[in-house]
Amino acid sequence: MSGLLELRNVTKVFGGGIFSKNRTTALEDLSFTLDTDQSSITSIVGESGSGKTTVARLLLGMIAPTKGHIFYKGNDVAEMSRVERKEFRREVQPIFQDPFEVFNPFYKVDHVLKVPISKFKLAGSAGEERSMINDALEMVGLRPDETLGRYPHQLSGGQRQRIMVARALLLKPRVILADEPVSMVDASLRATILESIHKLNRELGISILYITHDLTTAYQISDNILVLYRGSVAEGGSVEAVIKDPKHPYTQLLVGSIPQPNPDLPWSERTSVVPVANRAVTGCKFADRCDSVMNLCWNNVPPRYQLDRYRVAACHLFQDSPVMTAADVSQVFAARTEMSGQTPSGK
Amino acid sequence: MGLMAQFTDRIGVMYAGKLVEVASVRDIFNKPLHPYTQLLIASLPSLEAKEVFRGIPGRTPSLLNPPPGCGFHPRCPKAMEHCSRLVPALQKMATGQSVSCHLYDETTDSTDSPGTSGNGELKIAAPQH
Repeated sequence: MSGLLELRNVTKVFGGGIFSKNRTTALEDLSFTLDTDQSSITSIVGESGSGKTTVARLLLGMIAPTKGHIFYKGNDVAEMSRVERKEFRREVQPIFQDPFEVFNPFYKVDHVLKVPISKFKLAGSAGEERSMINDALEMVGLRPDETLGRYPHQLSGGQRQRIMVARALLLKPRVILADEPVSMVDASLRATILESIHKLNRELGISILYITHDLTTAYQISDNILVLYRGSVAEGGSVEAVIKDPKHPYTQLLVGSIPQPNPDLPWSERTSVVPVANRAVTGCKFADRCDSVMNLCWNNVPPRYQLDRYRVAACHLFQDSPVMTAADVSQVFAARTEMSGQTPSGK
Repeated sequence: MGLMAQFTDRIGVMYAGKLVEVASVRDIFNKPLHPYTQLLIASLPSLEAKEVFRGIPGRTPSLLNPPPGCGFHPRCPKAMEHCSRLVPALQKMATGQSVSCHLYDETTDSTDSPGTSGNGELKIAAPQH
Protein backbone atom coordinates (compact mmCIF):
# COMPACT_ATOMS: atom_id res chain seq x y z
CA MET A 1 0.00 0.00 0.00
CA SER A 2 1.41 3.33 -0.98
CA GLY A 3 0.20 6.49 0.60
CA LEU A 4 -1.31 9.34 -1.35
CA LEU A 5 -1.78 11.56 1.65
CA GLU A 6 -0.34 10.42 4.92
CA LEU A 7 -0.19 11.66 8.49
CA ARG A 8 2.67 10.09 10.41
CA ASN A 9 2.68 10.39 14.22
CA VAL A 10 1.27 13.89 14.02
CA THR A 11 0.76 15.92 17.17
CA LYS A 12 -0.48 19.48 17.15
CA VAL A 13 -0.32 21.67 20.21
CA PHE A 14 -1.82 25.15 20.15
CA GLY A 15 -0.80 28.05 22.30
CA GLY A 16 1.64 28.03 25.11
CA GLY A 17 5.00 29.63 24.81
CA ILE A 18 7.76 28.36 27.04
CA PHE A 19 6.34 30.11 30.08
CA SER A 20 2.66 29.61 29.37
CA LYS A 21 0.61 26.87 30.93
CA ASN A 22 -2.21 27.44 28.49
CA ARG A 23 -1.51 24.67 26.02
CA THR A 24 -4.12 22.75 24.11
CA THR A 25 -3.23 19.48 22.50
CA ALA A 26 -5.56 19.49 19.53
CA LEU A 27 -4.24 16.28 18.05
CA GLU A 28 -2.13 13.60 19.59
CA ASP A 29 0.03 11.11 17.74
CA LEU A 30 -2.29 10.46 14.81
CA SER A 31 -1.19 8.33 11.88
CA PHE A 32 -3.32 7.41 8.93
CA THR A 33 -3.06 7.10 5.19
CA LEU A 34 -5.28 7.80 2.25
CA ASP A 35 -4.42 5.14 -0.28
CA THR A 36 -3.26 5.81 -3.84
CA ASP A 37 -4.28 2.44 -5.20
CA GLN A 38 -7.90 2.88 -4.41
CA SER A 39 -9.88 5.98 -3.77
CA SER A 40 -12.19 5.81 -0.81
CA ILE A 41 -14.30 7.99 1.41
CA THR A 42 -13.07 8.27 4.97
CA SER A 43 -15.00 10.10 7.65
CA ILE A 44 -13.54 11.78 10.68
CA VAL A 45 -16.15 12.36 13.35
CA GLY A 46 -16.15 13.75 16.84
CA GLU A 47 -17.71 16.53 18.86
CA SER A 48 -16.59 20.15 18.85
CA GLY A 49 -13.00 20.43 19.95
CA SER A 50 -12.11 16.85 19.08
CA GLY A 51 -9.47 17.91 16.56
CA LYS A 52 -11.38 17.23 13.34
CA THR A 53 -10.74 20.58 11.72
CA THR A 54 -7.13 20.55 12.90
CA VAL A 55 -6.66 17.39 10.83
CA ALA A 56 -8.00 19.15 7.73
CA ARG A 57 -5.84 22.23 8.28
CA LEU A 58 -2.76 20.09 8.79
CA LEU A 59 -3.45 18.05 5.68
CA LEU A 60 -3.87 21.20 3.62
CA GLY A 61 -0.53 22.48 4.83
CA MET A 62 -2.18 25.51 6.40
CA ILE A 63 -0.61 24.78 9.77
CA ALA A 64 2.50 22.80 10.57
CA PRO A 65 2.46 19.85 12.94
CA THR A 66 4.16 20.29 16.31
CA LYS A 67 5.52 16.77 16.00
CA GLY A 68 5.44 14.27 13.18
CA HIS A 69 5.19 14.60 9.42
CA ILE A 70 2.65 14.89 6.65
CA PHE A 71 3.43 13.31 3.32
CA TYR A 72 1.85 13.80 -0.07
CA LYS A 73 2.90 11.18 -2.62
CA GLY A 74 5.84 10.37 -0.39
CA ASN A 75 7.08 13.97 -0.11
CA ASP A 76 7.04 15.80 3.20
CA VAL A 77 4.61 18.70 2.79
CA ALA A 78 6.89 20.91 4.90
CA GLU A 79 9.86 20.36 2.58
CA MET A 80 8.31 20.44 -0.86
CA SER A 81 9.85 22.21 -3.81
CA ARG A 82 7.84 24.96 -5.51
CA VAL A 83 6.76 22.63 -8.30
CA GLU A 84 5.71 19.88 -5.92
CA ARG A 85 3.88 22.34 -3.72
CA LYS A 86 1.97 23.72 -6.68
CA GLU A 87 0.90 20.22 -7.66
CA PHE A 88 -0.08 19.53 -4.05
CA ARG A 89 -2.09 22.75 -3.94
CA ARG A 90 -4.05 21.76 -7.02
CA GLU A 91 -4.57 18.11 -6.23
CA VAL A 92 -5.65 18.49 -2.62
CA GLN A 93 -8.76 20.65 -2.46
CA PRO A 94 -10.74 21.84 0.53
CA ILE A 95 -14.44 22.41 0.95
CA PHE A 96 -14.95 24.37 4.14
CA GLN A 97 -17.71 24.49 6.64
CA ASP A 98 -18.75 28.09 6.54
CA PRO A 99 -19.80 29.43 3.14
CA PHE A 100 -20.10 32.90 4.65
CA GLU A 101 -16.47 33.35 5.56
CA VAL A 102 -14.75 32.06 2.45
CA PHE A 103 -16.02 34.75 0.11
CA ASN A 104 -14.57 38.20 -0.16
CA PRO A 105 -17.64 40.46 -0.04
CA PHE A 106 -16.04 42.98 -2.40
CA TYR A 107 -15.76 40.54 -5.29
CA LYS A 108 -18.48 38.93 -7.33
CA VAL A 109 -18.69 35.16 -6.88
CA ASP A 110 -17.14 34.66 -10.33
CA HIS A 111 -13.85 35.70 -8.76
CA VAL A 112 -13.61 32.60 -6.58
CA LEU A 113 -14.07 30.41 -9.68
CA LYS A 114 -11.82 32.37 -12.03
CA VAL A 115 -8.80 32.69 -9.75
CA PRO A 116 -8.00 28.95 -9.61
CA ILE A 117 -8.40 28.65 -13.39
CA SER A 118 -5.95 31.46 -14.06
CA LYS A 119 -3.53 30.45 -11.28
CA PHE A 120 -3.19 26.95 -12.60
CA LYS A 121 -3.65 27.94 -16.26
CA LEU A 122 -6.44 25.43 -16.77
CA ALA A 123 -8.22 27.21 -19.60
CA GLY A 124 -6.79 28.25 -22.97
CA SER A 125 -9.39 30.89 -23.73
CA ALA A 126 -12.11 32.97 -22.11
CA GLY A 127 -14.72 30.78 -23.78
CA GLU A 128 -13.15 27.63 -22.39
CA GLU A 129 -13.03 29.22 -18.94
CA ARG A 130 -16.70 30.12 -19.24
CA SER A 131 -17.74 26.59 -20.23
CA MET A 132 -15.62 25.02 -17.47
CA ILE A 133 -17.30 27.23 -14.88
CA ASN A 134 -20.76 26.54 -16.32
CA ASP A 135 -20.17 22.77 -16.30
CA ALA A 136 -18.95 22.81 -12.71
CA LEU A 137 -21.91 24.91 -11.58
CA GLU A 138 -24.39 22.69 -13.41
CA MET A 139 -22.83 19.65 -11.78
CA VAL A 140 -23.66 21.00 -8.32
CA GLY A 141 -27.14 22.05 -9.33
CA LEU A 142 -26.70 25.80 -9.80
CA ARG A 143 -27.97 27.91 -12.69
CA PRO A 144 -24.94 29.75 -14.09
CA ASP A 145 -27.06 32.68 -15.32
CA GLU A 146 -28.51 33.21 -11.86
CA THR A 147 -25.25 32.69 -10.01
CA LEU A 148 -22.52 34.43 -11.93
CA GLY A 149 -22.23 38.17 -11.77
CA ARG A 150 -23.63 38.33 -8.25
CA TYR A 151 -22.12 39.31 -4.96
CA PRO A 152 -21.89 36.76 -2.13
CA HIS A 153 -24.56 38.50 -0.04
CA GLN A 154 -27.06 38.01 -2.87
CA LEU A 155 -26.81 34.21 -2.63
CA SER A 156 -28.06 31.82 0.02
CA GLY A 157 -25.75 29.75 2.20
CA GLY A 158 -26.61 26.62 0.20
CA GLN A 159 -25.78 28.33 -3.09
CA ARG A 160 -22.46 29.57 -1.75
CA GLN A 161 -21.55 26.13 -0.48
CA ARG A 162 -22.28 24.63 -3.88
CA ILE A 163 -20.04 27.24 -5.46
CA MET A 164 -17.27 25.98 -3.19
CA VAL A 165 -17.87 22.40 -4.34
CA ALA A 166 -17.84 23.63 -7.95
CA ARG A 167 -14.57 25.47 -7.31
CA ALA A 168 -12.96 22.30 -5.97
CA LEU A 169 -14.23 20.37 -8.99
CA LEU A 170 -12.70 22.81 -11.47
CA LEU A 171 -9.21 21.77 -10.39
CA LYS A 172 -9.71 18.05 -11.02
CA PRO A 173 -8.21 17.14 -7.64
CA ARG A 174 -7.01 13.75 -6.34
CA VAL A 175 -8.16 14.43 -2.79
CA ILE A 176 -11.00 16.54 -1.44
CA LEU A 177 -11.00 17.46 2.22
CA ALA A 178 -14.58 18.32 3.03
CA ASP A 179 -14.88 19.92 6.43
CA GLU A 180 -18.57 19.91 7.44
CA PRO A 181 -19.63 20.64 3.86
CA VAL A 182 -23.35 20.17 4.45
CA SER A 183 -23.90 21.42 7.96
CA MET A 184 -25.28 24.72 6.71
CA VAL A 185 -27.65 23.55 3.98
CA ASP A 186 -31.17 22.12 4.10
CA ALA A 187 -32.06 18.44 4.00
CA SER A 188 -32.93 18.01 0.32
CA LEU A 189 -29.86 19.93 -0.73
CA ARG A 190 -27.71 17.98 1.70
CA ALA A 191 -28.69 14.77 -0.06
CA THR A 192 -27.88 16.36 -3.42
CA ILE A 193 -24.46 17.67 -2.32
CA LEU A 194 -23.54 14.37 -0.64
CA GLU A 195 -24.58 12.52 -3.76
CA SER A 196 -22.31 14.70 -5.90
CA ILE A 197 -19.41 14.17 -3.48
CA HIS A 198 -20.09 10.43 -3.54
CA LYS A 199 -20.14 10.53 -7.34
CA LEU A 200 -16.78 12.33 -7.41
CA ASN A 201 -15.34 9.41 -5.52
CA ARG A 202 -16.99 6.56 -7.36
CA GLU A 203 -16.80 7.98 -10.89
CA LEU A 204 -13.75 10.22 -10.91
CA GLY A 205 -11.74 8.31 -8.30
CA ILE A 206 -11.18 11.31 -6.05
CA SER A 207 -10.39 10.32 -2.46
CA ILE A 208 -12.60 12.09 0.03
CA LEU A 209 -11.92 12.92 3.63
CA TYR A 210 -15.30 13.81 5.05
CA ILE A 211 -15.08 15.65 8.35
CA THR A 212 -18.33 15.93 10.22
CA HIS A 213 -20.19 15.73 13.49
CA ASP A 214 -23.16 14.14 11.74
CA LEU A 215 -22.86 10.38 12.12
CA THR A 216 -25.84 9.64 9.91
CA THR A 217 -24.34 11.25 6.83
CA ALA A 218 -20.92 9.81 7.71
CA TYR A 219 -22.51 6.37 7.69
CA GLN A 220 -24.31 7.04 4.43
CA ILE A 221 -21.37 8.27 2.45
CA SER A 222 -18.19 6.73 3.74
CA ASP A 223 -16.31 3.44 3.65
CA ASN A 224 -14.28 3.94 6.81
CA ILE A 225 -14.47 6.13 9.84
CA LEU A 226 -12.27 7.54 12.58
CA VAL A 227 -13.84 8.70 15.82
CA LEU A 228 -11.74 11.35 17.53
CA TYR A 229 -12.06 12.37 21.14
CA ARG A 230 -10.00 15.32 22.35
CA GLY A 231 -7.36 14.75 19.72
CA SER A 232 -6.99 10.98 20.03
CA VAL A 233 -8.54 8.14 18.10
CA ALA A 234 -11.26 6.54 20.22
CA GLU A 235 -12.41 4.07 17.61
CA GLY A 236 -11.76 3.45 13.97
CA GLY A 237 -12.53 1.00 11.21
CA SER A 238 -15.13 0.16 8.62
CA VAL A 239 -18.12 2.45 8.94
CA GLU A 240 -20.47 -0.53 8.94
CA ALA A 241 -18.81 -1.97 12.03
CA VAL A 242 -18.27 1.25 13.94
CA ILE A 243 -21.69 2.89 13.46
CA LYS A 244 -23.88 -0.20 13.47
CA ASP A 245 -22.15 -1.83 16.41
CA PRO A 246 -20.08 0.75 18.30
CA LYS A 247 -17.73 -0.67 20.93
CA HIS A 248 -16.02 2.32 22.49
CA PRO A 249 -18.25 3.99 25.13
CA TYR A 250 -17.69 7.35 23.44
CA THR A 251 -18.85 6.06 20.06
CA GLN A 252 -21.84 4.45 21.76
CA LEU A 253 -22.68 7.81 23.30
CA LEU A 254 -22.36 9.55 19.91
CA VAL A 255 -24.45 6.98 18.06
CA GLY A 256 -27.05 7.04 20.84
CA SER A 257 -27.39 10.80 20.63
CA ILE A 258 -28.28 10.88 16.92
CA PRO A 259 -31.69 12.56 16.77
CA GLN A 260 -33.82 10.17 14.74
CA PRO A 261 -36.22 11.78 12.27
CA ASN A 262 -39.07 9.90 13.89
CA PRO A 263 -41.01 11.52 16.73
CA ASP A 264 -42.00 8.11 18.08
CA LEU A 265 -38.43 6.96 18.59
CA PRO A 266 -37.36 8.56 21.84
CA TRP A 267 -33.95 10.07 22.11
CA SER A 268 -31.36 8.11 23.98
CA GLU A 269 -31.61 8.30 27.75
CA ARG A 270 -27.89 7.97 27.93
CA THR A 271 -26.23 11.29 28.51
CA SER A 272 -22.78 12.14 29.65
CA VAL A 273 -21.62 14.13 32.59
CA VAL A 274 -19.87 17.39 31.93
CA PRO A 275 -16.13 16.83 32.01
CA VAL A 276 -14.12 18.28 34.83
CA ALA A 277 -12.35 21.30 33.44
CA ASN A 278 -8.57 21.24 33.36
CA ARG A 279 -8.31 17.81 34.85
CA ALA A 280 -4.74 16.63 34.47
CA VAL A 281 -5.04 13.74 32.06
CA THR A 282 -2.91 10.83 33.13
CA GLY A 283 -5.05 8.04 31.75
CA CYS A 284 -7.92 7.77 29.30
CA LYS A 285 -9.14 11.22 28.22
CA PHE A 286 -12.73 10.00 28.23
CA ALA A 287 -12.61 8.59 31.78
CA ASP A 288 -14.47 11.48 33.42
CA ARG A 289 -17.44 11.12 31.06
CA CYS A 290 -17.45 7.37 30.66
CA ASP A 291 -20.19 5.30 32.27
CA SER A 292 -18.06 2.13 32.08
CA VAL A 293 -15.04 3.70 33.76
CA MET A 294 -12.79 1.37 35.72
CA ASN A 295 -10.04 2.09 38.22
CA LEU A 296 -7.23 1.56 35.77
CA CYS A 297 -8.70 4.10 33.32
CA TRP A 298 -7.65 7.07 35.43
CA ASN A 299 -3.94 6.43 35.33
CA ASN A 300 -3.30 4.34 32.25
CA VAL A 301 -3.60 5.57 28.70
CA PRO A 302 -5.47 2.85 26.81
CA PRO A 303 -3.55 1.39 23.88
CA ARG A 304 -5.36 0.76 20.60
CA TYR A 305 -6.82 -2.69 20.78
CA GLN A 306 -7.58 -4.41 17.52
CA LEU A 307 -10.98 -5.98 18.10
CA ASP A 308 -11.23 -7.58 14.69
CA ARG A 309 -9.99 -7.17 11.14
CA TYR A 310 -11.95 -3.96 10.63
CA ARG A 311 -11.91 -2.24 13.97
CA VAL A 312 -9.62 -0.64 16.48
CA ALA A 313 -10.74 0.84 19.80
CA ALA A 314 -8.66 2.64 22.41
CA CYS A 315 -10.44 1.45 25.54
CA HIS A 316 -9.45 -0.70 28.51
CA LEU A 317 -12.68 -2.66 28.20
CA PHE A 318 -11.05 -4.59 25.39
CA GLN A 319 -7.80 -5.48 27.10
CA ASP A 320 -8.24 -9.12 26.08
CA SER A 321 -7.87 -8.15 22.43
CA PRO A 322 -4.41 -7.84 20.85
CA VAL A 323 -2.82 -4.40 20.86
CA MET A 324 -2.52 -2.98 17.38
CA THR A 325 1.15 -2.90 16.53
CA ALA A 326 1.10 -0.52 13.58
CA ALA A 327 0.71 3.16 14.41
CA ASP A 328 -1.30 3.74 11.23
CA VAL A 329 -4.97 3.33 12.10
CA SER A 330 -5.96 2.98 8.45
CA GLN A 331 -4.57 -0.56 8.62
CA VAL A 332 -7.99 -1.65 9.82
CA PHE A 333 -9.81 0.17 7.05
CA ALA A 334 -11.82 -1.94 4.67
CA ALA A 335 -10.96 -1.58 1.00
CA ARG A 336 -13.90 -0.80 -1.25
CA THR A 337 -13.62 -4.14 -3.07
CA GLU A 338 -13.93 -6.00 0.20
CA MET A 339 -16.96 -3.94 1.04
CA SER A 340 -18.83 -4.43 -2.21
CA GLY A 341 -18.48 -8.20 -2.14
CA GLN A 342 -19.13 -8.93 1.47
CA THR A 343 -19.91 -6.27 3.97
CA PRO A 344 -17.62 -6.68 6.94
CA SER A 345 -19.82 -7.32 9.90
CA GLY A 346 -19.24 -5.77 13.25
CA LYS A 347 -19.24 -9.09 14.99
CA MET B 1 -35.13 17.66 10.85
CA GLY B 2 -34.12 14.85 13.19
CA LEU B 3 -33.73 17.41 15.92
CA MET B 4 -37.16 18.86 15.14
CA ALA B 5 -38.74 15.42 15.34
CA GLN B 6 -37.42 15.14 18.87
CA PHE B 7 -37.97 18.69 19.94
CA THR B 8 -41.10 20.32 18.54
CA ASP B 9 -44.87 19.83 18.66
CA ARG B 10 -45.90 21.43 15.41
CA ILE B 11 -44.05 22.10 12.19
CA GLY B 12 -44.72 24.55 9.38
CA VAL B 13 -43.06 23.73 6.08
CA MET B 14 -42.23 26.58 3.73
CA TYR B 15 -41.39 26.48 0.06
CA ALA B 16 -40.51 29.45 -2.14
CA GLY B 17 -41.73 31.96 0.39
CA LYS B 18 -45.05 30.31 1.21
CA LEU B 19 -46.29 27.95 3.87
CA VAL B 20 -47.15 24.69 2.13
CA GLU B 21 -48.06 22.54 5.11
CA VAL B 22 -48.69 22.95 8.83
CA ALA B 23 -49.23 19.93 11.00
CA SER B 24 -48.31 18.20 14.21
CA VAL B 25 -44.81 16.78 14.27
CA ARG B 26 -46.17 13.20 14.03
CA ASP B 27 -48.27 13.95 10.96
CA ILE B 28 -45.37 15.73 9.22
CA PHE B 29 -43.10 12.74 9.67
CA ASN B 30 -45.60 9.88 9.39
CA LYS B 31 -48.13 11.04 6.80
CA PRO B 32 -46.96 14.21 5.09
CA LEU B 33 -49.54 15.51 2.63
CA HIS B 34 -47.76 18.03 0.46
CA PRO B 35 -45.50 16.47 -2.21
CA TYR B 36 -42.68 18.79 -1.13
CA THR B 37 -42.96 17.65 2.50
CA GLN B 38 -43.04 14.04 1.33
CA LEU B 39 -39.85 14.48 -0.68
CA LEU B 40 -38.20 16.46 2.11
CA ILE B 41 -38.88 13.69 4.63
CA ALA B 42 -37.67 11.08 2.14
CA SER B 43 -34.41 12.98 1.65
CA LEU B 44 -33.42 12.67 5.32
CA PRO B 45 -30.39 10.47 5.83
CA SER B 46 -30.95 7.40 7.94
CA LEU B 47 -28.92 4.57 9.32
CA GLU B 48 -31.14 2.13 7.43
CA ALA B 49 -30.01 2.91 3.93
CA LYS B 50 -26.36 3.35 3.03
CA GLU B 51 -25.33 5.18 -0.13
CA VAL B 52 -28.90 6.18 -0.90
CA PHE B 53 -29.25 9.88 -1.57
CA ARG B 54 -32.74 11.10 -2.30
CA GLY B 55 -32.47 14.77 -3.05
CA ILE B 56 -35.33 16.60 -4.66
CA PRO B 57 -34.70 16.83 -8.40
CA GLY B 58 -34.66 20.28 -9.90
CA ARG B 59 -33.78 23.59 -8.37
CA THR B 60 -35.45 26.03 -6.06
CA PRO B 61 -37.26 28.62 -8.17
CA SER B 62 -36.03 32.13 -8.65
CA LEU B 63 -37.90 34.35 -6.22
CA LEU B 64 -37.41 37.34 -8.51
CA ASN B 65 -39.41 35.59 -11.18
CA PRO B 66 -41.47 32.95 -9.36
CA PRO B 67 -43.28 30.30 -11.38
CA PRO B 68 -47.00 30.93 -11.94
CA GLY B 69 -49.48 28.85 -9.97
CA CYS B 70 -48.06 26.59 -7.29
CA GLY B 71 -44.41 27.44 -6.56
CA PHE B 72 -43.47 23.77 -6.39
CA HIS B 73 -45.10 22.62 -9.65
CA PRO B 74 -41.90 22.61 -11.79
CA ARG B 75 -40.35 20.01 -9.43
CA CYS B 76 -43.50 18.22 -8.34
CA PRO B 77 -43.87 14.58 -9.42
CA LYS B 78 -47.64 14.85 -8.96
CA ALA B 79 -48.13 18.14 -10.78
CA MET B 80 -51.36 18.48 -12.74
CA GLU B 81 -52.21 20.78 -15.59
CA HIS B 82 -53.86 23.49 -13.49
CA CYS B 83 -51.01 23.57 -10.93
CA SER B 84 -49.11 25.91 -13.22
CA ARG B 85 -52.07 28.33 -13.36
CA LEU B 86 -53.77 28.40 -9.97
CA VAL B 87 -52.12 29.24 -6.68
CA PRO B 88 -53.34 26.69 -4.11
CA ALA B 89 -54.71 28.08 -0.84
CA LEU B 90 -53.67 26.76 2.52
CA GLN B 91 -56.64 24.61 3.52
CA LYS B 92 -57.38 22.77 6.71
CA MET B 93 -57.98 19.07 6.26
CA ALA B 94 -60.34 16.93 8.34
CA THR B 95 -57.26 15.36 9.97
CA GLY B 96 -56.20 18.73 11.33
CA GLN B 97 -53.31 19.19 8.93
CA SER B 98 -53.17 22.30 6.81
CA VAL B 99 -51.85 21.96 3.29
CA SER B 100 -51.74 24.08 0.18
CA CYS B 101 -51.88 21.69 -2.74
CA HIS B 102 -54.42 21.09 -5.52
CA LEU B 103 -54.28 17.34 -4.86
CA TYR B 104 -56.54 17.94 -1.89
CA ASP B 105 -58.93 20.41 -3.50
CA GLU B 106 -62.07 18.25 -3.60
CA THR B 107 -61.76 16.90 -0.12
CA THR B 108 -62.48 20.05 1.85
CA ASP B 109 -64.15 23.34 1.61
CA SER B 110 -61.22 25.59 0.82
CA THR B 111 -63.00 28.94 0.98
CA ASP B 112 -62.74 29.62 4.66
CA SER B 113 -61.42 27.03 7.01
CA PRO B 114 -60.53 27.35 10.66
CA GLY B 115 -56.93 28.03 11.44
CA THR B 116 -56.24 29.83 8.19
CA SER B 117 -57.42 33.01 6.66
CA GLY B 118 -57.86 33.68 2.98
CA ASN B 119 -54.35 35.00 2.42
CA GLY B 120 -52.76 31.90 3.89
CA GLU B 121 -51.84 33.57 7.12
CA LEU B 122 -51.28 31.14 9.93
CA LYS B 123 -53.03 31.73 13.21
CA ILE B 124 -50.96 30.48 16.05
CA ALA B 125 -52.94 28.15 18.27
CA ALA B 126 -51.79 26.16 21.25
CA PRO B 127 -50.93 22.56 20.31
CA GLN B 128 -53.57 20.08 21.31
CA HIS B 129 -52.38 17.05 23.22
